[in-house]
Amino acid sequence: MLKARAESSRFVQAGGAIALDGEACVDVIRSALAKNADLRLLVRGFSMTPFIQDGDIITLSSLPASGIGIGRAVAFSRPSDKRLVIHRLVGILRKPAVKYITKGDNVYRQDIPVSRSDMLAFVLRVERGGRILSFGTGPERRVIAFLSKWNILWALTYAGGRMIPRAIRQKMKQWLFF
Amino acid sequence: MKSVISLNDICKPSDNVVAREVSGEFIIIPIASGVGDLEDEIFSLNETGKSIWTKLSSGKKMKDVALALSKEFDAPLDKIEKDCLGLMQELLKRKMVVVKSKS
Repeated sequence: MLKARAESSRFVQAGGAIALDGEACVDVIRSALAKNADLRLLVRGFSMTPFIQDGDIITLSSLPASGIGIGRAVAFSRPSDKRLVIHRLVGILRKPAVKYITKGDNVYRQDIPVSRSDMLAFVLRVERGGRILSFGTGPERRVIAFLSKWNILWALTYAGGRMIPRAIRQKMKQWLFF
Repeated sequence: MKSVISLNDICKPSDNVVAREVSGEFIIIPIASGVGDLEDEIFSLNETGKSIWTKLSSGKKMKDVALALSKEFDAPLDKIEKDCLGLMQELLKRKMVVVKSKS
């Protein structure tokens, strides 16, 4: 659900909430990117926790012509239902055709590989609580992709996370993300 | 930049907006400084606004747009003209339309 916060008037409504998901969301993103615009949107879901969390605001930007770097969080249209998904690029298949392997950092399984035409954008920026997060979008993303691909990150989040006392986990989160 | 629109003006949707009908709602997302903001800057037009907006790309003067809508909805021309100018004034203020020419 997307909320409009600008001032409403007689013809232009800028209040309430507008559901923008599925193919409609993908269509809007494609249209905006075609105008060389970046796009800010609210994230709903937990598949990219802890790097992108439910309620974060992300900025999507057009994919560079030079190619998509492994480790980037990317937005793509899931082939099975055409819904918008934001997961991490963890690998590229070169043969028989180029396909991109993606995976949610907080998901055990990889996604079905997607073709270039389904790839929409990459995550340029993540905002949480009014602050811009840099960890996870810089060069360290390649290490994160490796950890995510082999489920080390998932294991750390679930198994390891439960063994570490909550207070220490909170400190680690603060250190990493703020 | 022009700040008051007359019936002789031709208004067109700005290149810096994305407009779509989604689930029965007509939404407009302005692109400001190269960023479309789906979180804080998304607008929807009511039925009147949507009808006017869909006529904008025809390149007609506002008085012709109003005349077409007046016939389409069998409504008084003066009221439709007032609505058209009111909406265009709002959209111009929000930089969602551009005034192409004036005769």
